[in-house]
Amino acid sequence: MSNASLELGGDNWAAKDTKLLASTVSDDSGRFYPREFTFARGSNLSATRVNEDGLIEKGYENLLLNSNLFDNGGVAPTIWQKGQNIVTGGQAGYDGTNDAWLIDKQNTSGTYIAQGISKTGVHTISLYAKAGSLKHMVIWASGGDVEEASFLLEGDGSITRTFNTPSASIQRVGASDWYRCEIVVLDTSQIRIYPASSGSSVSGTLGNIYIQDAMLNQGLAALPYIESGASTAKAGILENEPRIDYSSGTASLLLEPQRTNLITQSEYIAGLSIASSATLSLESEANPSGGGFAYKVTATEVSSRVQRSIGTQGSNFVFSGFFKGSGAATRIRFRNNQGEGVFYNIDANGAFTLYSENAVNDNYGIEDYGNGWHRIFFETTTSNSSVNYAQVYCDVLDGDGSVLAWGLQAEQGSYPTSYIPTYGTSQTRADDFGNNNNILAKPVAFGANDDFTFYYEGSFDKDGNNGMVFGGGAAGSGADYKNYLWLTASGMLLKGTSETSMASTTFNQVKNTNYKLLVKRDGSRIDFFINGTKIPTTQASTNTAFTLRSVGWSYSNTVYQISGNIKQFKALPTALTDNECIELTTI
Amino acid sequence: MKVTRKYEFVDEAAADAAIAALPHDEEGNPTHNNGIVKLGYLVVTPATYDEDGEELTAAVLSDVYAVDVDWADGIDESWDDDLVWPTPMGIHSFGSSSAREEYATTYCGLFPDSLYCNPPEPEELELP
Repeated sequence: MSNASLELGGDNWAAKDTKLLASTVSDDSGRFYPREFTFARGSNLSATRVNEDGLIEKGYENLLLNSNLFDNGGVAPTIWQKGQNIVTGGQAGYDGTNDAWLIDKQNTSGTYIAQGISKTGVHTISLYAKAGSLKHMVIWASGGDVEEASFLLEGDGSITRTFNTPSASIQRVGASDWYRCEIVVLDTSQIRIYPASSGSSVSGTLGNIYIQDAMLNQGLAALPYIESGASTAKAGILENEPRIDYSSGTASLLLEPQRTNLITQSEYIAGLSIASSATLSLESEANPSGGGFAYKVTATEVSSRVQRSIGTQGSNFVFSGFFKGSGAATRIRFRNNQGEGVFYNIDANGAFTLYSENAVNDNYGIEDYGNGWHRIFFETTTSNSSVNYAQVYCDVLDGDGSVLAWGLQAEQGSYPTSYIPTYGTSQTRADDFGNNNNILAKPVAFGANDDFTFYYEGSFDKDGNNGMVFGGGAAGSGADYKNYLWLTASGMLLKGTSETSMASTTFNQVKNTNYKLLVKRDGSRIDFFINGTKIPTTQASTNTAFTLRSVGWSYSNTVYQISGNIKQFKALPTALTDNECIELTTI
Repeated sequence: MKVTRKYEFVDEAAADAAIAALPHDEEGNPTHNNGIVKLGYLVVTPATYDEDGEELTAAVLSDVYAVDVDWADGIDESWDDDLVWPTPMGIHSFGSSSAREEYATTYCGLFPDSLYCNPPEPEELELP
């Protein structure tokens, strides 16, 4: 064969729209050239990753239309209704542009600009504003109930009135006269912006304010502004964008199966059922996504808790949630209503210590997410005929402690996957390998007598993964799918053209453990290496041709897929020496 | 582009039969790329609770079995008899902006007079 080789990951993992960038050597020059690795997923709002800053990153939208086109001289497409205001663009904005708008109130009755938008669940409206001849602005939303907040656009800015909203805030933009104003709303069918002369009334004095960049996003905090037009705008993790994950400290391609979070308010903890007089307060506390809020759940008795029904289910689930100490010692209990779960002591310094557990299969764990936050999970049966609940008790020892809670999740399976945010309804994160197009644009073919070395570093998130580490692509795209390296329950099997067995070895993989795997063919011999050790290998039809078209799966992307993290993959057109293989695979 | 549609079957067995009729290989492994979530019997009336969080009245569940499908390779029209169109608010999703927009657009094409597709005009009202 030609001097073809391929490298994915390592220092060159990078997302490019719906592609992964790889490096290949496809001629005799020995130089690496970029090659794109096609990729498809399908979820943005329900898929998250840990980014380079160690924060959970989500996909999000600005659900408003024409988010900074409050008037267009009566010409479509603006969707804002300007009421009895004169709206003038081209004003100096908070960001150094001339993209701000002057809203000049022309009637002493309450008059506003408005956009109709029907949404359910927790959302945050945000808007940049500056005082004109009036110093107040009111943001109002109606849906199930009316929610409203009045903002004073002066000094450091302040909230002068709120009604029904779980939260409102104002933040000055540097030392300027501009402020970003936020209000959390539950359901909404319309939002309004009022220039106002006081925090308590929108009637009376005529006058004006400046506004810019309106946004409506899911969740309890305003996210970085993105400008929308005739359709919503998206940012963060995008549909079909590969999730390059840094939870292990280095970049890896995160691959997970489809999962559904049945806890319908994963962050709006006050939206759960509150039992035994637990009290809740929204704290200015950076949560694991970097957002500046988290609910504190405080006990008034040992049974004080929050809980959410996940209905009647017929199989085992994993419950998970992010928790942080509140500065005083407490003992939390995270469980289902059958008593299965875990107890953790949290000391005054925020250190977590397991007190006891009653998880199914003793399957539980805790992971440090930094800044005092820990993700706790446990496996639970939900096969009882009655309704099942996820329950968080905040102090089962003294009945007066508290804990910060965020990101609750209940998903079918035996291990927790990445966080799936919900804002009022259950949500599903689609399979990462949701498309047979997840293949290499050009196959890498090795003849029956070509030497090769395949190297793979990554972890698998369950035992007996049943995944094909790499192979020849989809069954529906010709016969190449019969080439693969397959992880069975206790071994690894390399098959080539016509599904001919080439070599095999034993491999008792342990979930969530980083492995460096290597298989090489040198002449007529094939050898496997795992974590720096050459493994006894059963030789079969070693001189069989092999075609590489897919990484992370082969044959069927819905069945034989790797679930876990891919850190690095290399295909080399040569057989490395044993010493080189040992060096490359040493952990 | 994937397209999300919602279905209601008389019971779980009927849903399973429809799912089993989708393409599979000779070993029974699915060869289609569609995402399927069996939502089950959805809550029609939520449960009620006392102040200690104990359930007073059980939730009332729908008598039909709900399934959401994220069609990757085009909608299978053999499922159309069980297709339903709930209002695109407060319903389960696959977390896809484009699929959600497609559903809402199609919904408003089918039900142009619905309240969802015709938000009420603002009225000049005083603040509460």
